[in-house]
Amino acid sequence: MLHHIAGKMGSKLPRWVKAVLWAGTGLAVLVLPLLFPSFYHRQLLEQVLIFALLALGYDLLLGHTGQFSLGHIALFAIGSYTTALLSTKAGAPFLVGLLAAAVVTGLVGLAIAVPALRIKGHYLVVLTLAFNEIIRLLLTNLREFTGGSGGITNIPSPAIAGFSFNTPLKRYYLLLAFLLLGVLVIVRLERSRFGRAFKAVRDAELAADVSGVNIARTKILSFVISAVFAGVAGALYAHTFHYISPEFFGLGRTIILLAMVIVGGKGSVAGVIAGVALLTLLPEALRFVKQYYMVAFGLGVWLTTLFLPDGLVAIAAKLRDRWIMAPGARQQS
Amino acid sequence: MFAQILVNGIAMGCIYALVTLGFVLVVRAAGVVNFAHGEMVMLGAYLGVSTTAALGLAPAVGLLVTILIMAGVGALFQRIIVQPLHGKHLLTIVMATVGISIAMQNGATLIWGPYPLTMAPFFGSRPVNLLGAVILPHTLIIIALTGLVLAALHLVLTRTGSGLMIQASAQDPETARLMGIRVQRMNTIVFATAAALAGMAGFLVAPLFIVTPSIGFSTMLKGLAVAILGGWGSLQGAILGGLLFGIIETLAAAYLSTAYKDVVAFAVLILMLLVRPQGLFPEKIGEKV
Amino acid sequence: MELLQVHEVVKRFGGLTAVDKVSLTVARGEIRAVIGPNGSGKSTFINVLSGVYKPDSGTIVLDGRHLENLPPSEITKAGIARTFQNIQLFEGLTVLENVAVGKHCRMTDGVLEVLAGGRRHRAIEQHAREEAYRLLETMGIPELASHYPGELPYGQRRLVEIARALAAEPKLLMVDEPAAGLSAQEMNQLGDVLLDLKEKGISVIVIEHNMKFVMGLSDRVTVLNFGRVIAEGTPDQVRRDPVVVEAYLGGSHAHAAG
Repeated sequence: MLHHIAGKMGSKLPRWVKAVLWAGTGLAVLVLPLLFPSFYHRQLLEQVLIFALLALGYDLLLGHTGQFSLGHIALFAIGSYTTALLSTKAGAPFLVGLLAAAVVTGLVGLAIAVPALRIKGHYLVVLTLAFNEIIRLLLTNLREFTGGSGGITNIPSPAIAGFSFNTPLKRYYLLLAFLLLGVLVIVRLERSRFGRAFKAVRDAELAADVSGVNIARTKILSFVISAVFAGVAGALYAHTFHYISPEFFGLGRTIILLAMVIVGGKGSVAGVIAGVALLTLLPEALRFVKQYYMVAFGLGVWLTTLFLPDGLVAIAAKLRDRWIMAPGARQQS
Repeated sequence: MFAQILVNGIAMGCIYALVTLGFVLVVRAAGVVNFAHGEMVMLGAYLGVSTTAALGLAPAVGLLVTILIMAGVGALFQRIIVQPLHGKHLLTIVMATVGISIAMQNGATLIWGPYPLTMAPFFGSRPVNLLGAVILPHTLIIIALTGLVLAALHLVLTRTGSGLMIQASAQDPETARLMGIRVQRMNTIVFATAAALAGMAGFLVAPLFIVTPSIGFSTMLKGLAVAILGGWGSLQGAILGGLLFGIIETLAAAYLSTAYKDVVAFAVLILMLLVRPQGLFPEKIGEKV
Repeated sequence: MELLQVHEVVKRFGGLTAVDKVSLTVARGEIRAVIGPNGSGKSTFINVLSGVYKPDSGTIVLDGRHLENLPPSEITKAGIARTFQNIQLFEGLTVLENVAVGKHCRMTDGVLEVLAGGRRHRAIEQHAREEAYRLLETMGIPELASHYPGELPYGQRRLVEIARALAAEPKLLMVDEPAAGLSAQEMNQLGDVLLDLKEKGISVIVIEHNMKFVMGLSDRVTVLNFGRVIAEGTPDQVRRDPVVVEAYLGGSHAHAAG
């Protein structure tokens, strides 16, 4: 299973290189928050972890199964609001809210999947965009339920069995655990008939049908699982930042999520996580030149899509290939 | 009261028609779903502010200047951004044009600043009384100009040689090319026209609302909705769908609430997609895979 | 009892009747060629049999089970697999994974099992991969397992598609123009593969233009023209049938009976 996290990349590298890369990455990820002790930096890391979970789920739908949906932020919002309402209005514990968020978004994902069976391409894009907008508008306008544009405040930190994750440092490791769980799910799916079915539906739907893959069930599965990812990520977001409002869940966020997956490398776990990290940390690093950054970001997205359709992870793959081909490097059969 | 709402609805409908027509022209002719189309509207609005407020030109002159500049922007856009995207997957085209849209939006903020700007309505802010309806003269101008432009466009597309060539290269670029039609040039003309239409819409609608860099996004969304409503790829669907959309939206705002007008609009859209995805006025065009 | 009984299947597209009351039966272990000039309805017929199109009328019975209104994946599960004229492989999956997709409907591990990573799932998955590899060996291309379809020449892509179809453990395999674009050597290899299937008791329907290829291979031949069966019999009988010769020569078709 381990070699699959790096996708096809890992399979070509010599064993010792892989071991070093794993140990190095693992160590880095574990000590990262210790190296950056400021509240601000740790919050950034929390954001990366949460969005990585969201993006992995989204990639399952978009990258693996080829369903061009732009409604994932709405699912993220539903997850956030479900747990926020349960914990602030009903005093529900964290795990209950989390479970509820997962179930509710799963059901909504199921509801979206049904029309998506018949609707494809740009029609699906518009359908899911409209859905996204309606959710945001409802969240803004159903004041009595959702707090309206003021949002919901004082959402408690996550707590399990009495232990409260009330600092960014503690939350980092909790979120990391959830992310690793998410990665495990994706990798296990990839290495099973379902993962192959997702990609088969993406690459040649009719051929998949004729090969014995139940298209409807496969698409529904993809929608539901990716929705659950969004719901869990949304719940974690609410408990991490303690405040949510409809503004967080608009078109802008949808576009950034899309860019994270595509620029990083759709269909690839490492690519998606890299995309999330880049598109979360870079704007913060270039914060002082925000407008210029955003112009460059937009142009960067355009150029990447044009020249690197497989995302940035393709650069890493090219480097790896060149390294293997270099004289003196050990070849793997 | 109803007549007033209706007239305002028709005016908004005209705006939507202009925006969506440009969008659909591009879909038909170049097979490109241009997510930066909304930014063309935004640009038109800003150019409107600049030409009339900053430069103090008369509205008519400002409009003309805006249209010319936007046509140029459209042509450039086609050469630099659209041409390399030819034949690529929908996801790639959407992502690329979204990137450009972000760049344009923030570019506008750099040029004009992040604060909302305003533009004066043509012929002043005093409403006139037309058969019991109290409306701004500006509203009537919108309707009149839109009618003129659409009529002119129709004539050009159906009666002139260039218009027929454009139709040909939209329906079947390969054959058109074999017949000696410069498809690339047709595409450039189409993009220039689309941008000009969008810019004009932005210019005309700016006095009714405030101008901010983010109006492009919401316009894009509405444009997509209208395109689907009218029938994807259908030119008459864009126009009729736009009018219908404007009327429905204005009616919903008046009789339900301004907050929920958008919800109604998008709910109608979703219903449409589920029940009749080919839209209200589908045109039978050749299957574009 | 015959394996496949197709009775008076009709398929219309608007005003055009592409398949006009076509009936045929295929026995177990039989290789049946379906030939005919361009536009005779061969591919449409295959599409109807595999569930890509729903027939307007008629019945399709496989081993006593009616298949007319089933979706393609159910028909595959019932025992009919097919390949496409324009070879449709999954470009984002390796060759081995492509073939493994064919096994999807025969694997019984559920989603929750997969997520839990249980022993049963791992065994089923391992078995499926080994089966897929074995099929590649049967096709003579096991070394291609880790390659992507995009890297392969046409002839090998064809073999991968057949392997994928066979992975579904069909009782009947339908191949649509399999010889197109193959070299002489590849055609021989393909012929061997099909004869091998016959030996294993798997029936084959071959749609082909290439007369030489099918005549030497098939047990019986069905000839279509304008959506109707105009002749049926052994390759020799069909070759001499004046109706068949007329259909081919009359319709500016270059591949006269060879």
